[in-house]
Amino acid sequence: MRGRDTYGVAKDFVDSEHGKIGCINCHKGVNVADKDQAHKDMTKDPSDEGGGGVCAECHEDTVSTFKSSMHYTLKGILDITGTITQPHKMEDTLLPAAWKLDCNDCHASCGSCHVAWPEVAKGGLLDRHRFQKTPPMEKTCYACHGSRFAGEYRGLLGATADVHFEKGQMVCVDCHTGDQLHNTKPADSKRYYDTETARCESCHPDAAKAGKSKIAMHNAHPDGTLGCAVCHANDYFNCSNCHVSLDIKEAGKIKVIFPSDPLVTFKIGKNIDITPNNPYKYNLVRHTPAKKDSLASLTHFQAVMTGSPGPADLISNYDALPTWNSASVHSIQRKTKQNRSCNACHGNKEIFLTKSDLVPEDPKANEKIIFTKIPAPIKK
Amino acid sequence: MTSGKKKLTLTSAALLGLACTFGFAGTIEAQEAGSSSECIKCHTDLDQMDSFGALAASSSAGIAG
Repeated sequence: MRGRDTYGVAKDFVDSEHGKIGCINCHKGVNVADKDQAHKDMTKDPSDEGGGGVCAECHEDTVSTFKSSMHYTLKGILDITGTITQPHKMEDTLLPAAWKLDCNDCHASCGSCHVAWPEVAKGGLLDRHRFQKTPPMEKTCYACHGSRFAGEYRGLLGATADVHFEKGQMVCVDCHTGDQLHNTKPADSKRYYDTETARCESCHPDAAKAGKSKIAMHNAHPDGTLGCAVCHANDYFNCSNCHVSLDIKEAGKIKVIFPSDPLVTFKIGKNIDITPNNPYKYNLVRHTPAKKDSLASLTHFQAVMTGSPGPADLISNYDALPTWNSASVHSIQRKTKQNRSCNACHGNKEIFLTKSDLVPEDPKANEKIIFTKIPAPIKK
Repeated sequence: MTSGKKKLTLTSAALLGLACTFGFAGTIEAQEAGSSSECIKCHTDLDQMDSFGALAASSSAGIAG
């Protein structure tokens, strides 16, 4: 049962390098037998404060960059939330409180990868407080990246598993190295703007050089045209509707629920986040689980808690950002349905994101992602 | 103070300093582990801790995700 392994500490941990430091030197509290007194002013996660907490005392180099890394700052989500709620001021809403209660559960501390399950998975120790140099991906990475990446990578969401998992038996950190995860470059940037993220070319340098490849299809598409996954990914999972809603069946018992409908697609769209590490004109795009009323629950809570519902139209700038966005799909295979032949892709309107894939309530920014004209079939 | 007494005082002070320095250094580790002896006594009792864990797990709010 999850949660059992929450408080127990292995005796061999006490004798380990970290164990020798002594509990209260990290977690504070008082070294007395009385439980309440012992736990007074205790810190559950001593690694969280300022991006490293007590870990900084010995691991200063890692902590100095981690505090501005995207796993700590959640820069991507923060930017999106800030943009779509403009011009409302955050402090006039429950967004800061909701951030702490919900979004922030995915924010990582040293401990939430190397010692305990992340908060979003309800915490608990990974292995009786033994420190994990390499975080176990099933318990840590998947806790936050579980709804899409983890399932498609292992082939659990309606398509084949990723070849790197199936044949390569690779884990997350084989591509997403500790150096990258601890150090977002430039500091405080978000996913596609990070210049040190995993690249296919790092392991497949020759295959990917357009014009110099042994593979005719690679040579046919100039550098910077297609993201590798456009040709080498299988179908993948999306969330189609709103992100968070409320289930109010009984007074005083409100449950936060995630009612998105599953949507398995394969759609090529235009890339509007062109950066040095994401230079492609076309990428696979995934539907972001958002709707114009996605934050309506906050208006409800604000009315209940403060007597005033706050801004009626909380996502007032909904049109500013698309809900189809460049995706790093993790269902990679060498042979796929779309790379069987030129015309498995060219002229195949099903695999291109077009106006017919949009719905009237979609944000205007989706217009920037769609193809108005799909590539014509290749004549032999 | 005679020079003999001075020498004896200086030697005693030096020896006391050495004893303090090496004595403390040798026990820092023991002190750190010892500083949490009560915590360790409880938290390494895995059966007891797991019973608390099971209780916490069964009483926590369920959020689908």
